[in-house]
Amino acid sequence: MSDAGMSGALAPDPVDRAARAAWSTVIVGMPFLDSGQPSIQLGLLKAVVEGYGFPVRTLHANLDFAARLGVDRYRPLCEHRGWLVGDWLFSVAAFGNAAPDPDGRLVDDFADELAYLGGTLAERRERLLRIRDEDVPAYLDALVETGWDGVRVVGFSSVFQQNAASFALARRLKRRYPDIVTVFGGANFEGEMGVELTRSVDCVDLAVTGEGDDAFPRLLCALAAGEDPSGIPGVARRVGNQVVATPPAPPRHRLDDLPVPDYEEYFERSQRLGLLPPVGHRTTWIPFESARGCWWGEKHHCTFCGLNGSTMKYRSKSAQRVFAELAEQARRYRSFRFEAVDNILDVTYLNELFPTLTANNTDYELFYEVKANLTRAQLRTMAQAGLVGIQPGLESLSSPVLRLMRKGVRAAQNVNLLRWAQYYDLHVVWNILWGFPGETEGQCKEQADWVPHLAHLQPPVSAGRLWMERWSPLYMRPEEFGVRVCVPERSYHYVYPDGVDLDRVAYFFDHEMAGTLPDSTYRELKQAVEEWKATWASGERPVLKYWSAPGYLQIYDGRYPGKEGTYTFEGPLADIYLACSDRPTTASAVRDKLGQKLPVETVREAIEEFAQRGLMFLDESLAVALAIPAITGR
Amino acid sequence: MSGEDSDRGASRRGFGIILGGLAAGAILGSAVVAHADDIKGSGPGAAGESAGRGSTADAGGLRKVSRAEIDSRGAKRDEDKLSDNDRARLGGRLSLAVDTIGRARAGNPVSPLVTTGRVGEAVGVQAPAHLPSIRDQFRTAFTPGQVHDGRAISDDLGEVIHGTG
Repeated sequence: MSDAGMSGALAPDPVDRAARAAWSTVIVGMPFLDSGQPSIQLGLLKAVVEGYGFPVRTLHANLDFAARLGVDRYRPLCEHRGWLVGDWLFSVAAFGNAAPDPDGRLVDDFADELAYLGGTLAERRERLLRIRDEDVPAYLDALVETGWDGVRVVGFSSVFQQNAASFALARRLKRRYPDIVTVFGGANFEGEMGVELTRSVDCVDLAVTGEGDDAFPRLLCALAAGEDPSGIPGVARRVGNQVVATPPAPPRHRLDDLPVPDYEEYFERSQRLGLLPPVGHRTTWIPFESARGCWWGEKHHCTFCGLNGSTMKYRSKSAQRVFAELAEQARRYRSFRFEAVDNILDVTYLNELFPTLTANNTDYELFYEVKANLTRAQLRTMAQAGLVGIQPGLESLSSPVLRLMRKGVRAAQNVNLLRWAQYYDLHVVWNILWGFPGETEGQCKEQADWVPHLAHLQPPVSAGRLWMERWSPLYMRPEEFGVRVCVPERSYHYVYPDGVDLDRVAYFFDHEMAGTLPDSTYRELKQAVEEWKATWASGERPVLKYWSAPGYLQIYDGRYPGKEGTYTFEGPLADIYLACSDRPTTASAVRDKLGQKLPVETVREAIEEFAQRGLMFLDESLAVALAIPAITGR
Repeated sequence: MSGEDSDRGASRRGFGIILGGLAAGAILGSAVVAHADDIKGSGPGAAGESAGRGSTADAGGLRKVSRAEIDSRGAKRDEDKLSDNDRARLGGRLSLAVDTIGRARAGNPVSPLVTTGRVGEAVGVQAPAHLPSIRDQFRTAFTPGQVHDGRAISDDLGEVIHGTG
């Protein structure tokens, strides 16, 4: 078996080639995978497996369901990870009589949580039950009807709420085509989750429990060669009543060796189903991967983060490779929008990738997850290269709370990032989290007090109590954080049969921790954030901007309706304010920057006066101006 | 709108305002200096003269401007061909003028000459005054009034543009 590392070009010997040609493989993405863009899991695995000489195709089967329900009804079901309503919709189809909630109690028991789906409770119940009892069976029946002749392996990639739908299709396929081998993988099968699901769900033949781009093709090679797959790292399989699982191999180091994902089937299918118009230029956000793992998490794992369960080890593609990949994908799929699926930006790209994109006059729009300590200059570099959206891990406006999370940034840095993101016209996706052991009422109150002064910056998407996620330090080291209760989030009980050990399958957990504050403590902060969001949702864009000349500064404050006006500062006050504009700084540093002409006490007094007017954000010893320059793009 | 007393008060302080110079070659033209004691119509650049005509530079290289020139700059705010940035710059300059005149009329000191130091982008305020204390600066720093889309539309600006001369 020749299974060397790859760049999409393997050279199996003739015997292997013939054997592999007989193992036609389909890699499936089931609901509730987002229908708005292709799956990088499917696209990458397709290219990988093809490189090994297997006939392989992808099947974005989620698109068929989106087309059946209508995208407007489908996508809300994809967007919410909690409460498992998507999995619940397929539970009966997946588990038959063993499904735990044939009567639809979930709709009533989670009435408040599912209100986002719209309508009255009775309307939601009627609509969801109709989807479950009519749309789902019809959809699955149509799906198994054609396209499976000669297929030997069906691979299911499962993340978030894709388990039940994947099980439902696998069950039907195995009933109709008993020789088909099912292989499951993805984040839902990472580690012991994959082992337990292999044990307890009979339509799962094999599971890849770590990164799949080596294990999956090696598994196919073993199947094609008629060999025992038990020697392949990172694979779980049933042997009698037991599950045999091998530990994953060390993570792939060289990401440049991976092939470019193949999304052809997604676009063809979307167009055929009428989900995408047959136009020459597309606006689809094409997912791409430039890095895996988290370089911050390698040093300090944020206490709530459950990403990268297998390994935090950070690896990234070379800038040259990313540059070439984006160009190739733009040509292939006629879209210039690219969404990085990385957990965190490789900072070397600031000196390599982004300047290269700028120098080559590319017209890409890019989205990246970033760490919040990016400077103005770095954001400018990225914006010039086409960055239009970021997801920084802000999480809080309080440095003490950020320390409890081990985020490695200060609140002033978070605010500064929001400022310069606003200035460079970057869309920011962020959240405020609370519920960490050790938080105080004062920290919560302080955040709520700051919120009105931040009205000119982009509000968080949400503000709420942290989710307890598998693999997070809170989950993995409960005694360290005073975790008293940690049980699978209750909606799992509405999806999985009794025989499934939810402790080993769940990703989200209900929890109680010592040293945490009740929900009532956060009421004021939550309300302030809701008002912030409502203002922006209304189309209003409160402003706080400045014009400056040496020794002279004007700040227009349009944050508070009915109290708009202009501040004018001259001489040292203007200098002090501007010295705090690029980045958070201390009074001493301001004094030094201004040539020590002012006593530090004077600087401190001025900073406090600015802060009292909501013109500066104070964070312990750090101060950062809140206004952003009126003249944009510099 | 511009009472005799107010204008005389401004005149006594002898401040000037540089408006313009938004960008070399830009449609907004070259630097303009407005001396408040000329706004009433005395001296070169008096009210009614066309923009830039008859203006002379003073010893500091600043140029007095007429009411017509300020009107002209104000009118350019709404020109379609202005970029958002130029519109914001002009709003800033006009706002500066409004603020300086207002502060002088209120008896508050105004700053010495400041400029951006960039060719073609001069902006500033000329006055012989001393700087007030930090506390006093904060006390008098705020001038109410809305600015939308970088365009000053406060009553104060209307006074400068339409109410003087």
